Amino acid sequence: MRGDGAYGIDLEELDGSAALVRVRGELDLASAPSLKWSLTDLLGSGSRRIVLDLSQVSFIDSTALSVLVGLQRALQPDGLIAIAAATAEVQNILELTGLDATFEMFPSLDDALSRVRGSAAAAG
Amino acid sequence: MYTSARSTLTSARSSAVAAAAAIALILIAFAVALPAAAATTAPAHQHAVGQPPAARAREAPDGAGAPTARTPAARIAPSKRPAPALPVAHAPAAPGRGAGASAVPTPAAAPGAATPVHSRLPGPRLTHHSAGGQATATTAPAGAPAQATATAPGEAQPHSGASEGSPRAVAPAVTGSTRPRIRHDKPKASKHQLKTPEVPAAAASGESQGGAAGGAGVLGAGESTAGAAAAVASPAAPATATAPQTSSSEPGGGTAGAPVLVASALQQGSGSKPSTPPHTRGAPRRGRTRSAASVPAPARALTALPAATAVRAARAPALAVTPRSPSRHASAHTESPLVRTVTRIIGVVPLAIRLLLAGLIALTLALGALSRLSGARAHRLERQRGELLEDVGLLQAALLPAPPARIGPVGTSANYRPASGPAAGGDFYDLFALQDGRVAVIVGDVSGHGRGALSHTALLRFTLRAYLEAELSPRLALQSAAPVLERQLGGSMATVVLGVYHPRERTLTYACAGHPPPLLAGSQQVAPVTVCSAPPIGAGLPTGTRQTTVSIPGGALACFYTDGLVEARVAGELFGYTRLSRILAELPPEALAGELLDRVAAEADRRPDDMAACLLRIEGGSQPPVVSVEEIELDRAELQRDRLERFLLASGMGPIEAEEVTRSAGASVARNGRVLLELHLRQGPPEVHIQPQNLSILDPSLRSSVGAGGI
Repeated sequence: MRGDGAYGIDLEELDGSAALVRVRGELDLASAPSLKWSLTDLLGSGSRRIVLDLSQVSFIDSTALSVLVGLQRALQPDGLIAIAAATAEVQNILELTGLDATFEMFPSLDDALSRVRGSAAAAG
Repeated sequence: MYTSARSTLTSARSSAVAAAAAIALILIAFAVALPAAAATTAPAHQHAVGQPPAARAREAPDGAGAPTARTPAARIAPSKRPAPALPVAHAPAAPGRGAGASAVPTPAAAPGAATPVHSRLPGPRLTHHSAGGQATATTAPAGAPAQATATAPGEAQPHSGASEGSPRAVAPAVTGSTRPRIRHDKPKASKHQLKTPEVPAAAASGESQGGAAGGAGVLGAGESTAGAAAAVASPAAPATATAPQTSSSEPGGGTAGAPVLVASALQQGSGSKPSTPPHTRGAPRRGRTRSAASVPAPARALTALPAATAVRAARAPALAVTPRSPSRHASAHTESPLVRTVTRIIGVVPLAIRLLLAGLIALTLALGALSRLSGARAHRLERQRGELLEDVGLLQAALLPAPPARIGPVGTSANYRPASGPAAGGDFYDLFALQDGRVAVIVGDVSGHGRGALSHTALLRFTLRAYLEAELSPRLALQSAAPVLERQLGGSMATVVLGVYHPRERTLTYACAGHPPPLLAGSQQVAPVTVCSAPPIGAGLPTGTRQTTVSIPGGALACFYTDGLVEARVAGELFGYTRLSRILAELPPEALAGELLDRVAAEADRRPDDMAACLLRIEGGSQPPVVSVEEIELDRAELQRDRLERFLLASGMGPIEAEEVTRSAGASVARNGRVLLELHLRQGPPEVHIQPQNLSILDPSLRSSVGAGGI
């Protein structure tokens, strides 16, 4: 599934402290602010473990990456971001920018969800 | 834009001024007309009804005290009765009158004096006779509505006072019944002559008939309506507006003057000397008598005296004079045609409309004020925008220097294209010479745009330049500067690439932090390893962990750029590295960075981000450049995440060799904490050097080769 370029975001609460964020389209200078506010709201509502489904994101630029890095730092030390199903383009960008080691990346959404649930179980 | 803003401003101003002028005019006329009009209204109406002035008078007895509109007739009627005292009208002057006639404003009423007022009134002239004690009010002969009523002195006075309560209501000329005499008020002031405009006799007479009945003297001006209008105008200077003189109409010899004005009363008999009130000006000279011609004159004119006048009149001891100028002609003397016209128009406008007009005027004023305010604001904004653009221009020049065309043997150029608006993006670059003829390049991009990005780009550019000039390699410069910069970026992130070209060794060494590596034209085989790239500055992670050295034996064109070039869009796709490499390869030999950006822009449909590029044109033969050394710095955590193994595999090493090197590096990390692994690529298997990085990384002399050399 490839995004058609139009940015969109859906937020779904998994439990009290976990949320699933589905993003689609291009994450660039134009959509980064919207992404930032959505994620900020999520943090404000108490989410500490966030799964980012990037399977429909075709492109992510440095501005959007800085938003994700900011989110990652805001979740330290106990929170986490699990990036699920990133497309090859997004993976290349993450690698080129050296940020692939920053986030936990999972090939599929299920893997990411189980990681988040496992984390919750461990914490609980 | 500016132009239109200015023109808007101008038009706004001119319209505001025009509106203000019009409004002022209307307001003035309005103010003037209002009282008069009010005064007039009643009489006019009565008139219409056909009531004689006298009738009116009765209707409105003195007591009625309608301050405003008193018709002369009114005075007359009451004349016989004592007048209720109107505040205004008390004119002590009336001494003439036997009784302590106090208020005798009415001219006619001059008691003792019994001076007929003689005004040169036109047709109806009125005269007051006030013969010494008697009150005579007579109307002009034949139905002449004469204006002035004569009042008996004694009585008359009170009356006048009373009736006139309304300030304005001074009776103009009084007509003696039979003898129309007109008295001039000022006894002494003979000079004050009324200027009485002439009234066409015919007109005067025509109307006069209607009015006469009551015997009240009314001034009939020939024109009833005109009277109102004139009255309006006159309020201000009632005195002045005086009756028109008609010379001809009066048979009696008097001049057929227009009735107008007034008489100031004074009683000769009484000997009081009235000072001449202002109005008096218009008063006929006293003493002059005219035979009353019986010229009928409509009464209306009388009514409209403005209160102000009345007041004045009252003050004047002498008497009330009231000039009322029945005709517009009279007013013509004192008022400008424009005011007269406006006044006249306003006089017939209903109250509701007047209120509406007042509302509109207020609205217009408010809008005018708003217009001025917004004009001023537009000016201020324009000025501020100019200042801002100037500031941005200066800052941009500081951030984006114009590099020399050559640095040693290397042709250099740099250029920048903003995505949109003023060039206040986050891209920055620098190109400068180091010792030994080396050429340093800095290209970077701060996340975000605008003011914040500008200050950050300045910080990054100058800080990184300082570390490079301190003889640090690009990797070490990044590694050392990143923590310093991160503390000052306030959460922003910056990607950057630092490069140094060494002409003697013909090598280009560069280190990236989250930034794309430079492209080398015509060297398809140059494929730098991007796995395990170093993260951006400000990401909260150690950076300056990777460095690549490219050997450039022949000629080459190295292009350092920002992601705006590869992120431009073509038919919905990213411009990408492939298109950029092609364009770079196709550039003519002397092309500069500006041409590269132009070509990218020409091919792209959309450029969502700024673009910046620095070109190093290295002369030489046809031998292609090749990557000679890849470096990666590792700590224990990175080893645990298989980063080194991935890096080695991406470099073309076989799995088995990669595993061995990883094991070796692990051992070194265990001893030293951090290690630098150099992978020398050449024909055949790569050569690996592992060095500890735990101590004094800034001092090359302390570096020692630890670990295995080649495999």
